[in-house]
Amino acid sequence: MIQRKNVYQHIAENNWKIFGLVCLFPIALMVFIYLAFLLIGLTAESAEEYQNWMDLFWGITPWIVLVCTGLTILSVICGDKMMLSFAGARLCQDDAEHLQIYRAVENVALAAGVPTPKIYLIDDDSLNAFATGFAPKTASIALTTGIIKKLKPLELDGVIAHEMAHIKNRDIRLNMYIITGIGIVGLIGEILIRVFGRSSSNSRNNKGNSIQGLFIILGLALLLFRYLIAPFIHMAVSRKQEFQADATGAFFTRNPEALASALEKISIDPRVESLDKSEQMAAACIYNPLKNLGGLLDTHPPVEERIKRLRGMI
Amino acid sequence: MLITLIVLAVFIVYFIAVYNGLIKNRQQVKEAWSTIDTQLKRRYDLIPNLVETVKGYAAHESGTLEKVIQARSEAMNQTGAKAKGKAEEGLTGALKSIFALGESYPELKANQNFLSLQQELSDTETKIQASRQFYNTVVMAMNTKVEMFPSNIVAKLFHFTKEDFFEMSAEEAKAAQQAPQVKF
Repeated sequence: MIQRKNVYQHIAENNWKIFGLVCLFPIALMVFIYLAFLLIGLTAESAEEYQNWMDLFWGITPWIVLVCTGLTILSVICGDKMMLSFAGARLCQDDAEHLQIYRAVENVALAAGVPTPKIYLIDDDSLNAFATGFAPKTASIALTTGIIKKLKPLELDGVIAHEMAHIKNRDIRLNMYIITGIGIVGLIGEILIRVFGRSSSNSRNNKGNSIQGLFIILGLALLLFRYLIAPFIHMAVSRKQEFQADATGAFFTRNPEALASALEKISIDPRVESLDKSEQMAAACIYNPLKNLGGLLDTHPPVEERIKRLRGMI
Repeated sequence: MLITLIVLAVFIVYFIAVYNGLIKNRQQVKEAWSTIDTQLKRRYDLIPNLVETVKGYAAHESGTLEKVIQARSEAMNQTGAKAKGKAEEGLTGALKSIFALGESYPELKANQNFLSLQQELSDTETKIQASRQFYNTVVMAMNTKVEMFPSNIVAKLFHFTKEDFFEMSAEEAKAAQQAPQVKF
């Protein structure tokens, strides 16, 4: 069983994407906003008015940068804790009762060459699991009590290896940045619409109205991107990560069949009550716990295709 | 003139990148080796306890115990992945014969200490396997770079050499290749 793409190549590729998101995306966003202001400024009748618009741009820029940085730092520092508490996960104690699961995670971590992550349990009879954490050193794996009970040891190893692959590949980090980026675009869009949408009723002057109209259009464009375009990009990235994590996980355990049969069992009962309302959490799980929308907006590739690829590796 | 400079600059950047990559590889190999080493040491520490426990129940089997002690000290004295791998393989075999004693001495088999040592040792063995697997993956990445053109030029220039794999016995290699069948 030969892995099509080396683990390290995949990590490098992900690091480039993260670089793009963290450096290029904010710059692109600022350039977009700057151009919008410039366009509006150029329609101004006097140099003074033009100057006013530019001053406004430079006035709001520090705030936007501050908000972006703040949100990013927030997601880096407590993104994983937010996910875990959202899922109602509790830290698994290292005692005799959980010895099996502890050993399993330790062994897979050794084979993957990452530090042993913290283990969390979700009290739910369904079968699902997710990994979170900004870096391999601070990563956590959450497993439902159902998945521990209902899978055979080798199948559980396969699931753990899949999550370990997400950790090793820095998939979680990329996902957090994508979610934050999408959130920022939506936030700016919403602010534009609220601020200019409200004040337009007070304004009597035609020109002011048309400028406010432009800002509302700008806000709508951002919201359109946030709700109609960005999800497709995010889900496409997510589906690719799932395939890659299946392959890398199978490489860690040298046992694709175990993961394939685990996926078969998980696909029958993946619904976790505490994850019912979150699309973003759904993308993190080994199998989408929500109803499948199918196609381009799905967080995961079709399970049949995943199993077929895994069985093709043997 | 400018083109020569650009070409030269590209070469230098490439050299630095490959050199740093090789350094990183070597570091990864060292790290992976120390992980194996930790597990091996844990196994060495557990064996004297095991021998003491078994002695109390199966004094006649001193030959088997002797063999294990010998295999342990031999494994401890070996250095380098290749030699150590071979010695460890012998130790694994010797340990199996001790656990087989449990079958002929029911009292030993019922001993709590013996049972927990057996569990500990089998866990250690799984961990040695897992860390060896990672070690070999890292060594493979390093060796590929040392051998492949054009990175082999840099490797030769700075004396990077191929690293040894931590060998598997033929039996283990076969088991690793054949994924266990899961029945439904």
